[in-house]
Amino acid sequence: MSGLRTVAVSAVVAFFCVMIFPWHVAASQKRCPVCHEVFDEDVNVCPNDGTDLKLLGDAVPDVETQGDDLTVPDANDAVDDSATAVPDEGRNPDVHDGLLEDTHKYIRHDQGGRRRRIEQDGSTEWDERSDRLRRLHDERAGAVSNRKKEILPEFDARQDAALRALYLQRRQNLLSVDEAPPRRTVHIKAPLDDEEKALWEKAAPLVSIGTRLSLMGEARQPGPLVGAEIDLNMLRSNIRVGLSSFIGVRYVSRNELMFLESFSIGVQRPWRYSPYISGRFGIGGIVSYRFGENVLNRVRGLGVDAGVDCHVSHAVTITPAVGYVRYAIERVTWDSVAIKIALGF
Amino acid sequence: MWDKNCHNAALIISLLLVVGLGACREDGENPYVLWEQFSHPDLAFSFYYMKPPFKRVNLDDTHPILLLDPFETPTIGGLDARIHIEAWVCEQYFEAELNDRYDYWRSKAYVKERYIGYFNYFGDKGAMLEMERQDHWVKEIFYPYGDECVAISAATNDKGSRPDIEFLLAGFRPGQVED
Repeated sequence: MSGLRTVAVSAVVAFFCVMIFPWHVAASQKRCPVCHEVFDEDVNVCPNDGTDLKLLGDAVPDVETQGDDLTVPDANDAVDDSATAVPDEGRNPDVHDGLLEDTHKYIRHDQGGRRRRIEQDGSTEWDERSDRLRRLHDERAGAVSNRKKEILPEFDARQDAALRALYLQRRQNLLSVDEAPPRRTVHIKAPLDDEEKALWEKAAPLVSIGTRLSLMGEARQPGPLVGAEIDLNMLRSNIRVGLSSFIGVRYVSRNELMFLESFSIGVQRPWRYSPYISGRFGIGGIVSYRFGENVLNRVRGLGVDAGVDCHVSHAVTITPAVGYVRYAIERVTWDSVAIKIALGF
Repeated sequence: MWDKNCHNAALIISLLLVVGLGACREDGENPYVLWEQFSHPDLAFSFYYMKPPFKRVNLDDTHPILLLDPFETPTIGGLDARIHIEAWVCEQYFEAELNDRYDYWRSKAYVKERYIGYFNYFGDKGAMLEMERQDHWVKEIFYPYGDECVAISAATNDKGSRPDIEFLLAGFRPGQVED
């Protein structure tokens, strides 16, 4: 029984030895965990970064290389599993499906990893390592700094230009706000267009109806003469020509009825508030009721009127006017001030 | 264009004013300016009347008689027209003439006499006699004229014409008429 046990143990040991030996024999290269470059077995320190390959290097099976196949795989490169496939013979317990999986993570020394210290004994090894480290950092830093040196000025220039433009725009906005007038409702009268101007070209209304007041005194009485007047304007531009019909009552001892037909001519300025001055001459009659009978006397009227045609709208006009008038019956005259207000259409 | 139109309009207006104002001389304040004026040949009196409607019925200028709507036959009150106006010069003092005229109208059955002082439109002082008979009404005015007097009589049966008749009588004045 003991002999059988011994044989079993020996077989297991031998198995392991057999497993280990080929693996040991086959792993003749090592991969640097930092730069991922493959070195021979006899390289103990990574020349790129000074990593201790004896302790930290990853064993790489010795496979035939085709051509120059010692390139460091880039992080963006696709993993070519076929070239690095290691038979699953127990040398690497993490191999799955024939693929090699890098299980030796680079443990940073500041995170609990072990770092082999190289004594500063003035050996070339330390110098080389230091130099490599410096160059590595310088290259990296130099690459970055150079890139920064190339980009930053341009970036700064563009950023500066954008900021300047933004500043100027905001400043202009602020200034325009300060310069802007305070908000208030201002009705700006737009200039009249041609169509609207044409409406004011006809200064005088075509027809107007109004009331007229003047005086024809008798025997120390003022004798007001009040009546209605209808005006018909035939020319209504700069020249104003029209006819007027007046009928009114003279309030004296015996009220008298008077009618007068007048012709007027004058000048006027076409505008919305159109001033005018015109002279008028008319003939008519005054009817007096005396001794139970109507007595008719002929009347002449002569005067000057000045007024304003106020166009309250395109269809309605209000015309106040004041003037002087002289009435004459045969050899008798009455001088009076005349006041008139009319509504025109 | 504007200046030319203004010039033409001013010229027309001025022409109208000159033509229209040239013929007028009298002031319209005199209430009788539109009435006809009668003056005695010796300028003893003068008065105003309206022609029409009054008509002269005699040619004696010393005793003018004016009728308005004469009647074919006189009325009971002795009125021969709707309005009867006459004026004359008295050969006696005005108070004596007034008494005689009162007796005359009393004989025709006129009553309600009234004697009051009278001032015409021109401020002349005289005497007035006013009498009535039914719808007849007579009013006479007397002014001294030296040793004589002047008188005017107005009679009517139209009550509505009385204000006009009084207005006519107020224009009767003795002496020479001022131009």
